Amino acid sequence: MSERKDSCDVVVVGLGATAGIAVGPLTQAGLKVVALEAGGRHDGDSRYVADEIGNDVRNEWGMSKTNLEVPTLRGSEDDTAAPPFARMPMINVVGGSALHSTSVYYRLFPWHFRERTETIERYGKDHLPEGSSVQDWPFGYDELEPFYTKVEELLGVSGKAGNLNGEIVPGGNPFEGPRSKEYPLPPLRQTGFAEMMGRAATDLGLHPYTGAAGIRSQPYKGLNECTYCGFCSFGDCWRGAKGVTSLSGIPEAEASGNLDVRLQSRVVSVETRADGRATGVTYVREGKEYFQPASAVILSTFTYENVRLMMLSKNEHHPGGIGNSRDQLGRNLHLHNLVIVRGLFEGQELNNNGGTAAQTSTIDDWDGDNFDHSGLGFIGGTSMTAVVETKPISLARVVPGHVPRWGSEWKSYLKENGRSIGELILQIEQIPYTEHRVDLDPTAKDPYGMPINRTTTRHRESDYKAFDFLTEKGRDWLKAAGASETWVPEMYGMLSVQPHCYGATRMGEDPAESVIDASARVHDAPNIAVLCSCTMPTAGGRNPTLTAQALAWRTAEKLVEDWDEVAG
Amino acid sequence: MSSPTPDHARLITAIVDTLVPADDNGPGGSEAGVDAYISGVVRDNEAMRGIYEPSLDALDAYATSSAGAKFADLDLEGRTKVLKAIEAGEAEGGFIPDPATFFAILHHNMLEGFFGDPQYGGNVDFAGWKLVGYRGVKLIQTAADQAVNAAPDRPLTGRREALEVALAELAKESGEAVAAK
Repeated sequence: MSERKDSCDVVVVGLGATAGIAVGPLTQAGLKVVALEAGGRHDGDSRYVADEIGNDVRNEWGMSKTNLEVPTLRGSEDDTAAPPFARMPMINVVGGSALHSTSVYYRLFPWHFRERTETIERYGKDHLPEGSSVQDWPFGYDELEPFYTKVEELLGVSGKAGNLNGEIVPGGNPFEGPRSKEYPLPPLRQTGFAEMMGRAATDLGLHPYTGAAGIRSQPYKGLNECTYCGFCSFGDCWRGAKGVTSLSGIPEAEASGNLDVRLQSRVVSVETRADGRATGVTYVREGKEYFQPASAVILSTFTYENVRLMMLSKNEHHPGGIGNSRDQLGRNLHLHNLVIVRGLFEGQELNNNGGTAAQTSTIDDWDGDNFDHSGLGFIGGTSMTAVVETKPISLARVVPGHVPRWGSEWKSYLKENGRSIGELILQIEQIPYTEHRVDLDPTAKDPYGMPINRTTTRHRESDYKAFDFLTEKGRDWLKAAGASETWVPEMYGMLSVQPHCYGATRMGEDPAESVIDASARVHDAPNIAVLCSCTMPTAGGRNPTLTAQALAWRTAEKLVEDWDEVAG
Repeated sequence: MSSPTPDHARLITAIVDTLVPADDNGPGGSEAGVDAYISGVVRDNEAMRGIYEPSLDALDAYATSSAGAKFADLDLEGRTKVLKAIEAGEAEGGFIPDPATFFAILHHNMLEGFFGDPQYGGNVDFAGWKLVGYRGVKLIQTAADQAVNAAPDRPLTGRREALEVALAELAKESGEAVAAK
């Protein structure tokens, strides 16, 4: 029997990158919020600073939960799912996996919000990849713009505007949607390699800019700036220079007296009543079970755990799980096809080991609909970033296919060329299919005996076409900068478990094709809101966190606006 | 019984000296502590123990059946041939979960032991970092550190020492700022 806690207005499941934003507007409106977080607090310790083995290899921060419930993977409904060989770790800590994110902070383009309609209007209905379930968002870029700006100002995002209120501004990204304000901080410093790649892009007639980063280029609101150490991705920031909600957002909410944070608290189900609405959540802390009653519930873990919890919460009111009355829960999953294109710059010392992968030269000439897709057989594309931050273990993996992966010949190649390899990161947009989904694995369980997720997804013909076209553009860029040889490592095919994971609780007007409404509340349980990239109908070829956070802010404001109806 | 057993430890040493042979380009795997790192993984991680223990036995059995001697008793050429067969998934025997996947795990662990921070027991005397030209951990990187064709001249440091160096640098800066006022 679970112990009943005192009732609150809103209970938040997972106090990470999105909930850390949402608790601001909620607590400012005077709502009493309880946040249940499976991990602990970071507290500025230095255990995992500059620690490739502790972070990238072992994911020490994920030991309490995410490492124990890595979803299984299969290509189609006819296959048996197996543990993924490659995965990109998530962590459990106040502030969430953003604490170990690369923190590239791009907005989506207006096109991404109308991807289906725009594609049909420009190319005709036949251009949509066969069988895809891609939909427009229930609102446009203009609706989200004020929230993008609010998040950027709260966290201290660094960048240079390319489009201010419709005016194209030199030095920024000319393809971006209109911004209402300049970034609060100037861009991060470019590295020598980024400058070199930027010049080559300009020579090719492309439009390079320094990518926006959720990393402070200068001190901001009493918080530190980046020192370019080179261990951002999957790593802890030794200076607390990342724009994370554990430093901005959560502290203010706690200071209001309206936020009660409970750590090491693992939510096991959402409870509902006869009309389908949530009454609160059941959670386990130190082996003991509690019930937290609440007028509204926010599910703000990541895609995988949000879906898992909604499925595990099935009861007589929600026999297929919460939000699953029309078999939409977990469907329309889409990821990024994360690809690295490498080039050898013979005899050059690129000095790419230090710095952050957010110190980029970026081009968006090949993302969204910024190029003519006629006859190409795919839609969307990718941001393309020339990056640094090559950590030593990953540096040793980079050899081209014709070089052995071990032995004396391998050593000789690394000795000769280890300092001369430059790379681009591509995050190619995939589009949703109904069959691509997250559900519960029929046999695999976590150490507590609860089913873990199973994902079903595979590359489609359009994905191969996009890959071929876009990696060729990447090779062209590297060659223009002087690369004598270019190659694409084996990472292609990485349909895996990764932090760029979208859909699965898709937002939409039509309950037959979505799980949550335009306010991000579950169609069949309207006092449950969902945060995270799992709500996004399209991904773009761009990092998810900023958009997920802008949505979180908007969702929280909508909850406050509609509070009487939500809490009723 | 302790894990890895002395036999398995010797086998791990022979494996890393095959994956990373001592040659003109620097020390071999055992001199760089790669075997010590992998033995640590086997000792400390139950899941890895479940993979390594049967797979190491299978590896020796395969060496004996295909090349006529235990792996550690073969010359470099013989050992290389055995590992290539395992890597290609052509070797038979009780590898967990299968020969090619076991090799991939072994290869990952070799890279970790050769190029990981020396704190973890491998990369002795920064052997791996010297090979690839990694300049060591430096938490405060200047524009000059990141310039193309600049060759920063500094001693190699691991993560713990780098943190001390960076904190001292910050303390010095803030001391100077206070003094200037």
